[in-house]
Amino acid sequence: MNDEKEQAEAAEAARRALDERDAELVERLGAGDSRALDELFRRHRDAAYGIAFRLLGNSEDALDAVQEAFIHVLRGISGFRGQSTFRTWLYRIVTHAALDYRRWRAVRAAGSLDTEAGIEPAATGNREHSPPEEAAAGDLKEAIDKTLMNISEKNRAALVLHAIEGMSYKEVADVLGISIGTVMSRIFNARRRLRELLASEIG
Amino acid sequence: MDCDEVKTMLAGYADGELSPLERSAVESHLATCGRCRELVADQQRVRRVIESYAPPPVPDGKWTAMAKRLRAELGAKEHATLKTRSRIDSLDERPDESPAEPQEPARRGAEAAAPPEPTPRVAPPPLRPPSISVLKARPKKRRPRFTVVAHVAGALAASVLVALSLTAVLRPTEFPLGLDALATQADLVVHEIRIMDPGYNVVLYVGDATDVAAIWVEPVEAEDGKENDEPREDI
Repeated sequence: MNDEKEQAEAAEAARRALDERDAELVERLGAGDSRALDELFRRHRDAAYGIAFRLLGNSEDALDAVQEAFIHVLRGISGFRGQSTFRTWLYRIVTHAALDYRRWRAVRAAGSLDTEAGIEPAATGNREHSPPEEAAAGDLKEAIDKTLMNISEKNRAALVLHAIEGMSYKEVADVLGISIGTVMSRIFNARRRLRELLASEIG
Repeated sequence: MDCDEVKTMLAGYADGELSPLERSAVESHLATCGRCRELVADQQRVRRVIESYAPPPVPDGKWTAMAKRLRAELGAKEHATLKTRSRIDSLDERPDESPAEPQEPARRGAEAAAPPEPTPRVAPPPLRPPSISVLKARPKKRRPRFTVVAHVAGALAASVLVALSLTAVLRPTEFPLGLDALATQADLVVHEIRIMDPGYNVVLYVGDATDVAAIWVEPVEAEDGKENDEPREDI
């Protein structure tokens, strides 16, 4: 029990150190320092990609959303007041960018023949743009790809953010601008729905 | 607590996000409810699956290309900022000339003992984008002068416009000076003629389509061939 507590405290201290370093880099980026941009990008690109991928379901779209999010960060960096951590702010932007991208893709696909044939737009997009490494993934991975797209946007966002780097409910609540109770409820519903959809895969 | 109340906290329980009091309440319920215990197990199972589900790796080339794109974006932003900054600085130069003058006597007094040093070059402005407050402050200073000029110009323009409109509306219609000529105006009809002594005919013309009336006073030619007066017109 003490070990768990110590581990949690150590993780919290490490996270605080990362956030402080982020704050320094953000200040330098505000002054136009391109090396600060490079470091911030390296530190957060994987997590941003992880969020976008789980919200969009394929690599190409996720990378587009990540790039869009970082461009948004650059344009808005002078307005960032540090009321939340940079990480929280970035994840919020990535989440919105990915969901906007998904809506745009759904609208674009709405008139396509695939939609007329009854194929779910997101799933169609996945297969159309899947890079080879995705096609080689296992059945479970493919099933999760599909089922994640079949739960509601709100529930999925809460689930995905919590799954990334073990974000706490409080952090997820900050990113999504909702209460901790709502985060708990959305994660519960998202998992229950996934459990139903993945019943044959995960037993 | 019943099942519905506990359900709202089961995800938090599975993720260790509950307070000690909440956790205790949930555990008391779970000790007696197999269905809710199964729900907790499901929550933990799906959590493990999702956490083990890693997105496919991104080739380094794609990250490099994206970093390059972002640096270009930053460069374009800084270029735009510098242009804005130079415009702001050029605005600053004019008002800054006069406030510097009062300091001159004091400096001269101090410099009397020592030879004057060359004027240091002003360091270039930092790359930090101008704050919004700076941008907003400029128009506020100039607003009163601009407002007065604009109001005066606006009032003058409105006056001229009203005067021109009134002139156009009230300008007297040019009526012909003779009865024959009046008769050629299709929209004027003779409304009434009165023969007045001592020798004038008064003719009232009324427009049939417009609110125009004309009174024509015509001297009747005297028996000796002389006119009593020159024709007059009134409207």
